[in-house]
Amino acid sequence: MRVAFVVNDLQLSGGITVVVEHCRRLARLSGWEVSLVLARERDDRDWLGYPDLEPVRVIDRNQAAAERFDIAVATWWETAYALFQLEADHYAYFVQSLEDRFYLSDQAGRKAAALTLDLPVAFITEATWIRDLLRALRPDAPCFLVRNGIDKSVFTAPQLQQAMTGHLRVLVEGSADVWFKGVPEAVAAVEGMTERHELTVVTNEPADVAPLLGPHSRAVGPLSQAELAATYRSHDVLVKLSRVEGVYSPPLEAFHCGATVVTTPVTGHDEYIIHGYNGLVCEWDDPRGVARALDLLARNRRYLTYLRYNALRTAAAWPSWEQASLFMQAALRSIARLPATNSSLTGKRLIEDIRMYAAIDAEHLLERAAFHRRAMRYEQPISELRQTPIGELAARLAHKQSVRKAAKRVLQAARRFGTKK
Amino acid sequence: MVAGEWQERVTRESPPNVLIEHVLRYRAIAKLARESGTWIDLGCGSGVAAREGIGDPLPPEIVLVDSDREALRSAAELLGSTKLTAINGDLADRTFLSKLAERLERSPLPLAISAFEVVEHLEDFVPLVEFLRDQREQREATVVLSVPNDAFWPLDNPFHKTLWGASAFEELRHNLPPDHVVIHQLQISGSALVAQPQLRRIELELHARLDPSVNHVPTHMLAAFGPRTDLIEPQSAATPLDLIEQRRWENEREANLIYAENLALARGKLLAETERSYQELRAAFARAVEERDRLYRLVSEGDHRTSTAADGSEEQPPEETATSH
Repeated sequence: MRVAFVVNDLQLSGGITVVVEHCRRLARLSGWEVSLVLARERDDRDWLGYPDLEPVRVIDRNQAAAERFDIAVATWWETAYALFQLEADHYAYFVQSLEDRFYLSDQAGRKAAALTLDLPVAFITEATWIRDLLRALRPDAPCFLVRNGIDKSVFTAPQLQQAMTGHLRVLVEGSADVWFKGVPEAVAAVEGMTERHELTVVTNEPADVAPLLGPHSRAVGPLSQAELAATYRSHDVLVKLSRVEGVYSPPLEAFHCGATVVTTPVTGHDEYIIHGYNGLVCEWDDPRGVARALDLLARNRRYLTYLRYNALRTAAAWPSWEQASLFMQAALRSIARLPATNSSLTGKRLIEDIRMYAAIDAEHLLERAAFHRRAMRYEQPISELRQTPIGELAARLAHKQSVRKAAKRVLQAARRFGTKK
Repeated sequence: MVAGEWQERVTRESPPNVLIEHVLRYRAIAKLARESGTWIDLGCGSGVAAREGIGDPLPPEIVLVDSDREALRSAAELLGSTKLTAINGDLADRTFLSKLAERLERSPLPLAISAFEVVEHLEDFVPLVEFLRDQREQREATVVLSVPNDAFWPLDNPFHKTLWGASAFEELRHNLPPDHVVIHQLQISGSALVAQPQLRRIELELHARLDPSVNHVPTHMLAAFGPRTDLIEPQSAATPLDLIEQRRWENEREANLIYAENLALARGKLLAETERSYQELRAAFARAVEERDRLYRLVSEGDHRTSTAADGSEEQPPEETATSH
């Protein structure tokens, strides 16, 4: 079986880690040849995250275009553009999140990402909620559920280590500069606690978070997986106030290390988080509610132990990477058994159209942003003028019928005068 | 501690509630197996549950498959039939499964295949799932398989190579033929009134009401596919519990918990006492250091006065003495 997973690059990220974990295991299977196809130009930085990829082949797009695969798999919406440049019997799309949600409504990527879900492909996804959505969007397309595994040798908790008194050990994790991760909101909520606590923020940019932190708080990072696991083990609770998630891995990793979670009801949370059983689910935009939930855990250590124990039990039933890759293998084999479709040409044309219209759309959005900036330049002095006594008088007069009629006549006369001239 | 007591294979000594779960699955497929040309039981184990569940008459031709030779021999004895083939092999091995498929080409049709509690014991279950799907597509076989709901077991099962729950079962379903049906096996608790002394065997009827609005968590999840799934019969059964054994196990757990809580309490008290002693010692040490310094100062002053008197020089105040605490 010759399988190609198309990735943009191999820089360290959650999404790429998932693809790499699957590839490493699939490539060890007898009769399988697994390739990671780089859709972008190779960059030295690309190799920092995954130095040892054997026996997975890493090839560039041009090299891959000269070969033929049984299955070619896109792994991120941008890689869908390179997918149909590969010759394959079957095309698949490994959907790790509904990626249009990563962009704000005025960003071109939003539409371009959403449109890739219309491609003639078989879908593989990690979360039940994405599977349900894809089934509703594309009832015609085969869809397979393959949950992410967890590295059970790294994310472990030999025993529940918990201080019965003292500060509640709170952890916030995520990139502070990614708007939908809600890191500043989570830090603010923790700082709103009244009970004694210690806060650790794990982020790639600790310096950016430092100004937000109180006296009992610190920011660390970036951390390796082993360091992250050790950090989870030395904390009681993870606070995540994300607005967009796919499979929502951080709380699951925390569960494996014996920490519970206080979270927003973000997509993916209900795959394994049960409010009041293994974690606490708070409302959106409710920092006080989050702080009160944390205060409760700080005061009631028996309840905290209950949540943490159940978190560990939940983790015990979650699949390892070995099991997850068995399902990936099964899904790919099932896709290979489907009748070969002539989707290459259709896909290529569709993707070219999407690319063209996305580029036009991006230009329009840029123009609109420029117009908006120009309009705002006029808006400012007008708004200031309105606040002066003359402006207020003019605004009052503008409401009077007689004044508006007179102004209309003056304007008409002015226009006539301009025409004659 | 408890993991050491796990007994995965069903035997006559298995707890009655465990045995009844296994028997019930075979009882559900008894009609299907009997009305088949060949019944194939993959991962047959010791055959205790199959013998009781299938009952009499046995299917006309039986093929038993298991990786454990001893269990296979026991199953072959229990299910002794005029046409019985016992095959020893690994259901995760594609080569073995190919040979099994070749062997089944000679078996009378229609085929019924059961694979109860097998998938979770395999390092790689994909070959088995594909084999079952192939048998359905190529030989019109009717297939029934089951997996446990590990997520609702309070203990880790050391014999399970993969972990199963509702989500894992969902993942599996994506790889089964689309016409498959799902059956949930539910645990039922009950009670019975029996006049004493009980002199004869009593058959009790089971009446249980299952409300569709309630989420009844299954202990096991079954999937069936093929042309004759309608022959799978709904089943329910109850068995008296071995309360003596259950009490022993539960009490052991409770006793362990009480012991651990008391131990923690005692350690806590000891820790508090140690902390108190430590603070007292620390205070005593601080007092002793203070007293030493005071005496040192007195001695220094005395020395100074003595030397001044001997020299006849002008009296100077003693130098400040640095002490370390």
